Amino acid sequence: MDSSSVEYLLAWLPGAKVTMTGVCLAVSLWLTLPRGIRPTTRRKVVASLFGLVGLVLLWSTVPRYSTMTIQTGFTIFAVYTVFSSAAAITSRSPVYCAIWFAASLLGVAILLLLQGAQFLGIATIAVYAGAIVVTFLFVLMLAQPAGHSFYDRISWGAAPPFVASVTAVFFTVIVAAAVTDPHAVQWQQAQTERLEAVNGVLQRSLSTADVRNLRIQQYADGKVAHLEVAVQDVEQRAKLRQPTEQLQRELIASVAQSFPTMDIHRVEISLNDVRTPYHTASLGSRLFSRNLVAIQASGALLMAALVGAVAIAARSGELETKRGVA
Amino acid sequence: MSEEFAWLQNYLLLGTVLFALGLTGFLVRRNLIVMFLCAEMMLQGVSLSLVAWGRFHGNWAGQSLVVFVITVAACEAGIALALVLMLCRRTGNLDVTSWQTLREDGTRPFVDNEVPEEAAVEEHWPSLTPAGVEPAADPTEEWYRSHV
Repeated sequence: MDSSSVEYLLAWLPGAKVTMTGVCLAVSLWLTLPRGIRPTTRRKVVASLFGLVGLVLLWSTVPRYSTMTIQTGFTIFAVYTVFSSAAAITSRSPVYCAIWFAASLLGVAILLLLQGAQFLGIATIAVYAGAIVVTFLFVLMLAQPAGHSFYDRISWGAAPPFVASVTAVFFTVIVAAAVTDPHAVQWQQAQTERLEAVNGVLQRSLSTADVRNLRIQQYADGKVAHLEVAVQDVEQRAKLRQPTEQLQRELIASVAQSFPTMDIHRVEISLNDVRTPYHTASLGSRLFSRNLVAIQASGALLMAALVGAVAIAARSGELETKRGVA
Repeated sequence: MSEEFAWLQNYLLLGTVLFALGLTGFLVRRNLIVMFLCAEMMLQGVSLSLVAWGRFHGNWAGQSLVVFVITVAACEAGIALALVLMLCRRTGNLDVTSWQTLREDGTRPFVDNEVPEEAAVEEHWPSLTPAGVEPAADPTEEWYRSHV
């Protein structure tokens, strides 16, 4: 085998990996989806193996976390969430579907907590697992079909599971390719360098400042550099709210070094820290200041949905008789 | 900072997998409640991705949006389950194909998928191995029993 054919094979290998991933995931999904035949334990085991191989191949394309504990936690809860979600869509009985869905919600909540989204993690458990899944179960009990009847159709044919699993896997593989796109990775490396440069300037005067994001935006009065900065210290935060002329000039100079072709006009600093220990308070203050109208509107939406649900679920016959009597 | 990119990539992949699973369920299942549950699963996948983007960009936009996603999901659950209850009272089952002919008066029916016959499912009844001494049969009791 000469070197050119080896190079050809190496160039071909990523494509083969993507295909393998897709095939493994699709076979796994197709095997577990409910069809006419009753699933045997052997089929479930084979499907789980295929799914595991597919997931390992899928995750081999993205970088690992540098901290071992975070990597372990993420792996455990990601596998748990994906497994219980798969069980939720493949269980025959809707009651088991709902229970597996609640289990997968628990996994999602833990993954949100792992990412630092404390409020959303708790809200997911309280709203989804606490309210929505319980409502599912109530409706399943109330909507008891008369006599011996199947909850879920079993003789739907072989084509829909096949088409659906191929569609889903196609979608997954496309997004995975987009996420691990070499251009995106390159951009990220360049962005890291830029952030480090700006950080170096900022930390000279404010030791606890950490620039999390930098983007350039075109306004009517010229190009503006937006900085998202997290500051731990309260005094330094107050300083950064009204940055001195000198600091602004330094920041503009350091950003302009990263973007030599652009004429940066000024620097705008927003103090955001998603990973702050006062997470819920910060999210709340954000929601009730910048998103106040939207929060009020969604409250009104909830009220309207409540009234609508009562109007739909109340038997129209009963309402009419009452009106007739009155 | 490249650690932050790892967070983003891992969570985006996970969100995609959840979304794809929900999509599959929505396309395959024919039970109204399970289909609805699969839509909620898709929302979960989107929420994970949004939180990941919010963390990557270092601002609160992603998490604020997820709060609204949860709110809308709750509204949707309330109304949709009330509707499911009413639909189930009409037809007596939860199969979505019972409603595929739903249309205005006077419109020509279009059925894109004939409901196939239910395949017979073999029933497995539990069987117990007889144990102990067989009790002596009381003829009077036997007579009653057969008439109960």
